[in-house]
Amino acid sequence: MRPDWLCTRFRLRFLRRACFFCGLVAAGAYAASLPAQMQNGSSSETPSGPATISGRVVNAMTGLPVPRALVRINGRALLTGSEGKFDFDQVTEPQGSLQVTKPGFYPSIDGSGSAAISWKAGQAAPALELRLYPEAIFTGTMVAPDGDPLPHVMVSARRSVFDGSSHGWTVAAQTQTDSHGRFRMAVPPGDYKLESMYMPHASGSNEVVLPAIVPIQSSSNTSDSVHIRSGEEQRFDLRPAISRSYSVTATSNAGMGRGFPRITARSSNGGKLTLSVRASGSETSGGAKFELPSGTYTLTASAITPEGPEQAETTVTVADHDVTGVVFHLAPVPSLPVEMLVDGATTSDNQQPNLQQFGLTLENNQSDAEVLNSSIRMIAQRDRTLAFTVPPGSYRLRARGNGAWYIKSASYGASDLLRQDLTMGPGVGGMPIRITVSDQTASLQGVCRLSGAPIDCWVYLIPTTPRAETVFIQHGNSARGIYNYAYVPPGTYQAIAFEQRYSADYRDPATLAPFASRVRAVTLNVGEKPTLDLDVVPAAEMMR
Amino acid sequence: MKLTSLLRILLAMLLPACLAATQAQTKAAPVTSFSITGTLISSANGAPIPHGHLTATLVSRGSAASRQSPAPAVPFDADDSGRFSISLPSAGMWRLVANARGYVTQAYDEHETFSSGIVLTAASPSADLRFQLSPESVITGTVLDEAGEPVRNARISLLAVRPPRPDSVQPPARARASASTDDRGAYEFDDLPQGDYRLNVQAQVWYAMAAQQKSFNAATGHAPLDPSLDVAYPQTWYPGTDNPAEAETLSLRAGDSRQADFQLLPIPSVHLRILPDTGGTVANGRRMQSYPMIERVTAGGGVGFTPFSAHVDPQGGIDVGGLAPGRYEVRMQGPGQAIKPALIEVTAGSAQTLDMGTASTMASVSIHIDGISESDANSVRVSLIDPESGRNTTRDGGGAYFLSGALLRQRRGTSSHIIEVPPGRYEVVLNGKPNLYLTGITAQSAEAVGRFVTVPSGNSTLNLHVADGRATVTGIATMDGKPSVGAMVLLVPATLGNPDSLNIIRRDQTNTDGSFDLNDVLPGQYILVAIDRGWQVNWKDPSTLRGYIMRGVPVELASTASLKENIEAVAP
Repeated sequence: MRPDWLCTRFRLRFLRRACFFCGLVAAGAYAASLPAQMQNGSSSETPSGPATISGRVVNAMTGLPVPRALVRINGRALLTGSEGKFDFDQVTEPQGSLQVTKPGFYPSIDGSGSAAISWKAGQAAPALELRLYPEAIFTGTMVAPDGDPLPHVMVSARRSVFDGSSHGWTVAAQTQTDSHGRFRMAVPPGDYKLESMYMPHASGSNEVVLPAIVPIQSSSNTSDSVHIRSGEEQRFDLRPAISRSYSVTATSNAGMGRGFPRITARSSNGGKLTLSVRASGSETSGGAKFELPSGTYTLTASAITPEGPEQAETTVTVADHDVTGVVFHLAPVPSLPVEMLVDGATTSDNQQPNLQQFGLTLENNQSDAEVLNSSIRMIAQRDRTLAFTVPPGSYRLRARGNGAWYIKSASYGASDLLRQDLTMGPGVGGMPIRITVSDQTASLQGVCRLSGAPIDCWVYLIPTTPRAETVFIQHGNSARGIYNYAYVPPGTYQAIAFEQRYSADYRDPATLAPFASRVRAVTLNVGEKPTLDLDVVPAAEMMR
Repeated sequence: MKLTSLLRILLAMLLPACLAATQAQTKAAPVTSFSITGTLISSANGAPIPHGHLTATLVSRGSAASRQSPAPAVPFDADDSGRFSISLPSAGMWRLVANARGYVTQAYDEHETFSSGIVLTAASPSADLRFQLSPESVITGTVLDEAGEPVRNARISLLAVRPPRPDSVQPPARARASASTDDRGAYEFDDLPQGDYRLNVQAQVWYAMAAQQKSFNAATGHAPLDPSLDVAYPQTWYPGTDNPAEAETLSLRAGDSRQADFQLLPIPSVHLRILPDTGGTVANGRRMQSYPMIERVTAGGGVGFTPFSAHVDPQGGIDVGGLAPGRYEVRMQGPGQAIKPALIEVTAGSAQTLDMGTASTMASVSIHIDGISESDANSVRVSLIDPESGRNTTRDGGGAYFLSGALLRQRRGTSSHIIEVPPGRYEVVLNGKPNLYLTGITAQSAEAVGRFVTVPSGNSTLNLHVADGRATVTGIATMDGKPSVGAMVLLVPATLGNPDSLNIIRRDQTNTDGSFDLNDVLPGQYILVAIDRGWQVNWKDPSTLRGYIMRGVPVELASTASLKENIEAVAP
C-alpha cells in the first residue's frame, strides 16, 4: 500500500495542476473504488453484464441536492440535474473511480483533495449519495479609526495546516478591499488567522495602515485562531491603527548592490511588519529606505546571495523623526549538517535507510513566521551531505512517520531534540545535528467499526512518548474495516479512527478533546503485534 | 507640462531604478519662503473636499532634466474645510498631486495626461490655487453562466476608448485595468476618471475543464466527451457579443456609478491537434516531453495565455481542447523544442491540425539600422506596435517577449537582428537613446508607409534610417499681456495628413507662469499654437484643427535645435 503522505502529495500536485489548467479553485474529487456489480445486488465476484451506476449529489451540511455538479466515472462525465441526480448506464468496467466536482464545494470536511468512500461488495447498493461540503466565507470591512472605509487594502486568510510531520500557516485566500472597504474570501473550512497588510494609507500621504490581525494576538507565541465550518459565513470588521510614519534609511556591510534584502520589523509589543523597501541614495552608497511609525523595532534583513542565504538583525528606535545610519551586518545563515547513525541493536534484514526518507523538518515556533520560513527542510550541500540552513530562532525537529525505520534519538550539542527545542542565536552555528535511527519496531492492527459495523477508516496514532514523528497515519481502505500498521516505534500512543481524513495539529491536546470517548491508549513494545479495534468517529461528529 | 507619455515611460524604464536622486538645488534662497496654498474642491459642485492628501514634487525642466529620477516629495494633508498650505524648500516648478476618498487622484488642473506645474520664483514665491478633483466613477457587475450561476475567476478587462486622431489614425483602446470575479461572480472597477469605456470578459467553463481533466500523458482510450460538456465561452464584450465592433461604449461622467452584468453562453469548443517538431525531441534515445503554450492574439486588447486541456495521443500528437474560435499563437515548451511560434486561426467546426515542424506563419523580420554610430545602433531597441491593440508584439530572436517594463538589449556586436511577429501592420517605435529618431524606412519583402510597416509571413527586411538630435521648443504663452495658464499648446507637423510623414502632433499644457516645454521633438516644419482654456476643443477633428493652425506660428526645427518661441494664445 502506498503510504498515506505520498497519496496526499500526489493529489495535491494533481490538484495544483488542475487549477493551473482550469482556474477552478474550490473543486475537488471523490476517488472511490466501485465494484460494478453493486446495482445487481449480487455477491458474485464476476459481474453479470453492464451495470448502471446512479445516485445523487447532496450538500453535506444542508442535505439539499446539488444541481449542475460534474460527476465523472472512467472518462465519462455528466452534470447532475435539478434534483442532484446522476445516472451512468452501460458501465462495463469491473471497477473505476467516481469523482464529483462543483465550484464552491469541497469533497471532504477539511477541504483536502479527496475523500474515499468504500462499498460493501455483496450487499445491495443503496442509492449512491455523494456528499459535497460547501466552502466557508470570510467577509468584513476595513475601517479607519475615523470611521472612513479603507479601500484597496490587501487582506489574507492564513490557514493552519498540518502536513503529517509539521504544522504551518499557508495563505488560503487573499483579496483587496473594494471601494467601500469590504472584503470577501471563500476558503476551505478550518482554523484561520485573518491579516491585513502593512501599507501606506494613501499615495503621497505620510501615514501607514498598520496590520490588523484576527484573532488579536495576546502574545507573540500563541496559536490562537478562528475556526470556520463548512458552509459558514463569518464577518470581521478590522479596524487597523493608522499612524504617522517616518523614513528609515539603512545600509549593509555588503552594500545593497546585490539587490534589496527583505526586511521585517518586529515591534517591542511583538507585532510584525513586512516592509516595502525602496532604493535610496546613489548606486555606490546604496541603501534601503522604508517607513516605520514611532517605536522600537528589531529589524531582520535577509538576502539570497549566490553563496547562500544571509541575514542580519539590528534594532532601531524611531522617535517622531526620520532615522538614518542603520547598518545591517549581513552574515551567512548558519548551516547545520545532519549526521545519521544506525542504532547498534538493529537487525540487518531491512535495507539501510536514507536520511531523506524521514521527511525531517525544523518547525519554526514563531506562530507568525513567514510562510516560507514556517518549516525548514534539509538541503543537499555541494559535498552531497544534507544540512539545515537555520536563521536565528527557536525550532522543533519534526519527522514523518513511515517505513521500517524511525528516529530513536536526535541531538544538537547537549540538546535532546526529541524533548527540547533547537534554539539558534545570531552568529551561532556549525554544529551537526545527530540522528540515531532504528528498525526495532512493533506492529498494530485491528478493525474499525461504526455503530458495530466494520467501516473504511483513517487511523491516527499519536505518540505520548517524546518523538520527532507527530502522528502515524493509516488509511484502512477496506470494506471490512481492517487497518494494519506494519511498523510502529515502541512507546505509548493515543489511537483514534475517523470516517474521513482528519488533518489537524495532533500535538495540541485540544485536537482530540471532542472525541475523548473514542480515544484508546496503547503501549507497544519491540516485536509485539497487538490487536486494537477502534470505534470510528463518524463524519457528522468531525464537523465541529 | 506633459506628465506622462510613452516616451517618458520608456525613458524611466531605461534608467536604473536606483539612480541617484541628485538634487541641483544647493543654493538656498536667502530669505524668501516658498509656499503653495489653496482649497481642494469637487469639480461636481464646487464644495470643499475635507481631509485630502497632497504631494508636491519639484520638476526639473529641460529635456535632460526629465530623465532624472523623481525628486523627493513633500506630503501634506488638507484640513476639514479642504484648505492646504504647503511650505516648500525652494523656488522652481512644482507638480502638485492630490487624492481624496471618492475622488480620482489628479495633478493640478489635469487634462488627459497633462497638467499645470506651479512655478515659484523669488519675485512670486507663493501661489494660491482652487484645486478641483473629479468624483470617481465606478463600474460594478456580475458574471453569470448559462444556468444563472456565478462564474468565478472570470477576467474582466476595462478598455478606455479614445477618439480618432486628426491624422486619421484610430488610437488603440487602451487597456486600463482588469479585475477578477469573486465567488458570487461579482467584480468592481473604481477610481475611474470620466470617459468612454468598453468591457470584455474571458472565462473558462468550469465543468468543461474539469471533465477533460486528466494527466497530460494519460492514454485517451476513453469514450469521447459528451458534446454538451466540450464547450468554451467566447471572449464576450459588454453587453453580450463576441464581436468587438458591436461592443457598447459606456460613457461615464464624473461620479457615475454603473452596473454592467454579463451572462456567458457556451459554444462548442474547438479542438486543435498539435504535431510537435520532432527535430530535437529525442535525447538519450528517449522522447522528451514538450508542452504547448497557447496565447490568443486579439484585436482591441491583448489577452494573456489561454487555459486549455491537452492530452498526448499514442502517435505523439497533442490534442488541445477547450478553445473558443479565434486566432492563436502556439509555442512548444520543453527540452529540444524550437522556440519558433506558429500562428493558427481556429475556426468553429472540425478539428484542425498544426504541424510545428512545418508551420511558419510568423513574420520573421530582419532589422538593420543605419545613419548612426554602431554603438548607438546597438543601444536601440525596435518595437513593432500593433496599431489595433497598442500591444508591443516584438520579441527577440530567442522567442521571449519584450514584456512591458522588461529591459532587453540587443546582443552586442550585431548590426542587425531578427524579430518574430504575427504578420500584419505595425507602427515602428525606437527605444533607446532618447535623442535618436527615425527619418525613414525602406523595406524588402514588406511594405513601409511613414512610421507604419506591413510585414508578411516568412522573411522580410526593414532598413531603419535613424538620425541623432531631437529638438526642443519652449516659451511662454500670453493672452492680453498676461500669462495664459492651463492653455493647450499644440505643435502640428506641416506635413499633417501626409501618410509618408514620420512626425506626429505634440502637445503640452502651460504652467502657472504661462510657460510650456516640448522636449524630444522630431526635427521638421511645424505650426505652434496655444489655445487659451482650450481643453474642450475637439482638436482631433481635422477641420477644427485647421481653423487653429491658421492662427498659429510656423516654426522650423533643425536637428538638435533648442527654440524659444513666445506666443500669443488664441481664444477657443
